[in-house]
Amino acid sequence: MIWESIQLYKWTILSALAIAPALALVGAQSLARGWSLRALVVGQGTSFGTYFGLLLVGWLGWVHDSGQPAEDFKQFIFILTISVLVAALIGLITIWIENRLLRPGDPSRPQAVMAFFTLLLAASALIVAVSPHLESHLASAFTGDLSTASDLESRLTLGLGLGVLGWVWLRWQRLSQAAFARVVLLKDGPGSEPLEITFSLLALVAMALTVHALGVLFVFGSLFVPSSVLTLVGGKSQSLAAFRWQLVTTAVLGAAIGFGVSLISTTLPTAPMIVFFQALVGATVGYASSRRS
Amino acid sequence: MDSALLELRDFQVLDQGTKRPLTKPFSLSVQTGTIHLVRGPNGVGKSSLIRALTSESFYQGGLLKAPNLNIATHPQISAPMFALPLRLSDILSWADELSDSARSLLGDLIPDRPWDSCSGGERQRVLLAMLFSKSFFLSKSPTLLLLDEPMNHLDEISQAEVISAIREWIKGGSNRGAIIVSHEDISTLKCEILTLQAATPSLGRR
Repeated sequence: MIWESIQLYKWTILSALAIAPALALVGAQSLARGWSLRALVVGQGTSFGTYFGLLLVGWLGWVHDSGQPAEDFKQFIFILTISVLVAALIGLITIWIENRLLRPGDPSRPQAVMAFFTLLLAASALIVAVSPHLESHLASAFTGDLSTASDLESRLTLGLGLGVLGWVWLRWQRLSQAAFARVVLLKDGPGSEPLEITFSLLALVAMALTVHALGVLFVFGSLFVPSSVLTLVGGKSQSLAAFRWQLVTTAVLGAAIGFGVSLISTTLPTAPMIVFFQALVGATVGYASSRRS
Repeated sequence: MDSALLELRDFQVLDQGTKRPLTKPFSLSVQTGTIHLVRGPNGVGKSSLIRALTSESFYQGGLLKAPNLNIATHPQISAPMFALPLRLSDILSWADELSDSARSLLGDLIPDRPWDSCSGGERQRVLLAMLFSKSFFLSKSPTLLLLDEPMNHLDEISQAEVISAIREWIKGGSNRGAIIVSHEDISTLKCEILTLQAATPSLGRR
């Protein structure tokens, strides 16, 4: 029974196992830059962009009778492109709010960003309200489930996940140096601009694709939970290189166990289980790390 | 400007918001091998002077730089934390090679020490050591150091080590100099002193 389920959802499972550690590394680097709120808003932006893309697909008549969007490469790329563009625009608006509207250090700045996040939530709810034929798909796109992702989405997510994971893994020290220079020395290191732009773009595309394939809850969980729980429980006494391993271990094990539990159970949904087990694995790894050091 | 690294003539630092002058006009010639200490009351524009020289904006008057001048800036920092786990050895590994003055500044610091558990003084010493070395943060070895309150969080012994390291660093090259903004009495540094004066009287002096 379990083996049959694994066979059936193998591409979804593999894509989650690849993109979860990639997002965990991206989330940790965002945290290092003080971009957590920005990542939250951009994550919601990719979600809103996906909803908006689905709405456009509905208006264009590219849906099955069941109301589910047809699995078609052209449509998929269309929705993904809309999602990335909307998220990029929302990211730019967020940066404008952070940098231009209010002076740095202003305590009301986080609240202004959260107000923008709330507006995006409201806009997403509005799209659901005006497109009831997509309601079931939109709901599953939020919490994420095994049935959410098509094989096409899963294979693309798997490829992108491995690509982003490899890119961030290999540049972990450089990305950390750039974050350190920006946060501690208040300046950009030489040659860091192309690195930061590539990092932001890859993070944006990875988030947009994963929201579409596995849901926004999975994205937020993988971005924020491993790094936060690891530092909360494990402290900060380990080296940068060790922390990279811990992030990847937590994200992969959390996703694997979460998937396993949701496959065994008939009622437990996938994404919440993954988020829950990422927290549990992160706490265990963090505790073991703090005991060693 | 044969041996001058930097020349400021009738120079005024401007407020970044209002673009009005913060300081009365002043002149400064930074010759190779010299250290200049910038002093003045709070809010007169000492840190703004460092920012103006780094960004080459928000000033009026003459600014001449020697060819091939490489500026390295140490901003005024208040014991910044870093979100990721980071040991001192991680940071020091980012330097291509630690100079002698950097090594003496690091002294007895333990490499496995996490950045966030270091004192403000220890962090200052590490950051200054990185500034004296060729590293990720600087594409070329610096020839002019702009240090904004580098003695913050340092005890007297560490201050003496910083002063000694700056002296050694300047002696280590043929065309090096430094501008230091500091509230501390660092007369042992044997430096030229520039006292900035506010363009308009402060509230308390009106």
